[in-house]
Amino acid sequence: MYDKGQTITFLVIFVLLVTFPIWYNHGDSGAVPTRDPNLPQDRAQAQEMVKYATLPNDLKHPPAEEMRTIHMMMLKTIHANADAKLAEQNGKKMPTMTCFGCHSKKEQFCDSCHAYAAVKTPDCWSCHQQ
Amino acid sequence: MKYLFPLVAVIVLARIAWVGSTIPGMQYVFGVDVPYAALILFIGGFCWRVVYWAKSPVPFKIPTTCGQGYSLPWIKRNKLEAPVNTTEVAGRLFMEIVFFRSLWRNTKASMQPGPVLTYKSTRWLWLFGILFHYSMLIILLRHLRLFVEPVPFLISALDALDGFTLNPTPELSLYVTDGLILLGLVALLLRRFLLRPVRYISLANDYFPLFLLLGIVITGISMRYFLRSGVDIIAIKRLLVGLATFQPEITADIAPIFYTHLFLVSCLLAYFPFSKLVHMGGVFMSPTRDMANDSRMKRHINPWNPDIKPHSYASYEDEFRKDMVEQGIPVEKELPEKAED
Ligand code: HEC
Ligand code: HEC
Ligand code: HEC
Repeated sequence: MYDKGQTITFLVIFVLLVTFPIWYNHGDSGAVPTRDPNLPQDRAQAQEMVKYATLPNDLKHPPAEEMRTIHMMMLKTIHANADAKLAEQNGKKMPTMTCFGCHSKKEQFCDSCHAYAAVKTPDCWSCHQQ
Repeated sequence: MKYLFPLVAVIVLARIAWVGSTIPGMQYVFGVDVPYAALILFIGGFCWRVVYWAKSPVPFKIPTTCGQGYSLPWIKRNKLEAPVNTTEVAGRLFMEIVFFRSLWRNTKASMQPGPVLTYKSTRWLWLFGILFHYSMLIILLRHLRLFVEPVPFLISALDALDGFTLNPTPELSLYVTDGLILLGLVALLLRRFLLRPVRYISLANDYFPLFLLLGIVITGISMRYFLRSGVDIIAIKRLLVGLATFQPEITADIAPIFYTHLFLVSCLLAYFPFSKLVHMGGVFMSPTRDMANDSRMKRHINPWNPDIKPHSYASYEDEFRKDMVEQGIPVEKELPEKAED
């Protein structure tokens, strides 16, 4: 092999870069976010409870598996007319926020899960009352 | 028609994963076994490839220069295009890798009425190449959020920057690079379809990586924006962090589109070292780019020159003197006087 030193250095850097997740995690897979303690642990009960969520435009709150994947789409639909509504409100904040009637605080519920998925949660409280 | 086989191959691969991952018990194969095998092939194949190149001798000094070389002191030289030392070579490689300088220099020759031969610079290939490669880099780095826990600040910052939104209301953010990589790939593919000279020289192994990358991009985009149901990021991250910590676990039913995406990525990884894509490592190893243009300052020894011992005339005559005298060839040193018997 020609230029042995350089080539080996190059390969070592390459392998280190590619295996970054392996040595960064060093065998520790971290804590997976747990279920919201405010919700019933019993799934059948939870799915019954979900039916009482009153969301605008007759939106239905699906069971957890589905809600995990589509809640951001739902929030987008809910806010489709938000700009007009805010203009109408004349600078006052939106009073209601049904989500946290059942779920615990945003920091505990939304943010703990988002921290794991590295999602940035928008700040609800610039428009909604806490 | 050279594009048909690669296209069908990618569709078949996607189909295998889509159908295969719905068979009970096969999730582990597509989610764990295949990615591990692909990673081993990728790293092993890449190292093999680089070592193979490093073993090949370079008989001549062959940097491709395209600027004024080192000459008399009052002649202005071009340090980047005709580098004479390691620093300048590194500068040249840097410009090549980071800014695709040689594509930037691309010109197109054409005949104008006259007839006059004119050269115009065409930078479309440069533009779409840059779009594709940088989007790919950002997307790769962004994906690290699914492989590491906790997520380093730089990764989440990059994610937030890429998925920036001007809309204050909550919604799924749209990644800029998702659009750009699609644009870049489609343009690079259309280039092969529409430009006749390029179409003529395009082979199946030019189309295959493009289709494969398009397949990955399309499954990724549809999974994120359209076919969300069943794409539980928390379960996916758990699986991927599990892969990186050697304790993989599939905790939920993940939609087939995820396994298809993962399988196509695995195919890309496994295919990478044995294809043209390995130009990623090759750019560091190509003599036309990484040698200094110093053939008039340093002697380049061909490494496969045989080891020839010098043979002077004096030693030649010593060896053959007897025969030479016998044949009547004049010699510089006569044979020693024979001792009288
Ligand atoms: C009537 C009470 C109620 C309201 C209102 C409600 N939720 Fe839920 N939510 C639940 C229950 C109960 C579950 C668990 C369902 C299950 O286990 O199937 C749940 C589950 C979820 C989950 C999945 C959590 C997990 O750990 O998988 C998300 C995300 C979620 N809700 C978001 C929202 C958002 C966003 C809103 C506001 C638009 C909202 N919810 C409003 C009761 C409610
Ligand atoms: C079970 C975990 C979980 C919970 C609980 C949860 N989310 Fe999410 N959320 C996610 C995941 C995962 C994503 C990212 C999806 C992706 O990247 O494709 C996300 C994305 C979002 C996004 C889009 C962000 C972006 O920039 O793309 C919004 C908005 C959002 N969530 C709002 C909420 C709100 C509000 C709550 C609390 C009521 C909540 N989420 C609770 C898992 C969760
Ligand atoms: C830019 C301001 C703004 C932000 C930020 C915002 N909202 Fe809203 N939201 C509104 C407006 C305006 C409405 C009323 C929309 C309508 O009636 O058409 C609304 C309505 C809602 C509703 C339906 C009404 C209700 O109370 O049930 C929910 C649920 C909701 N928002 C959740 C959220 C969550 C969760 C967040 C944070 C992730 C959030 N919003 C952030 C402006 C905002």
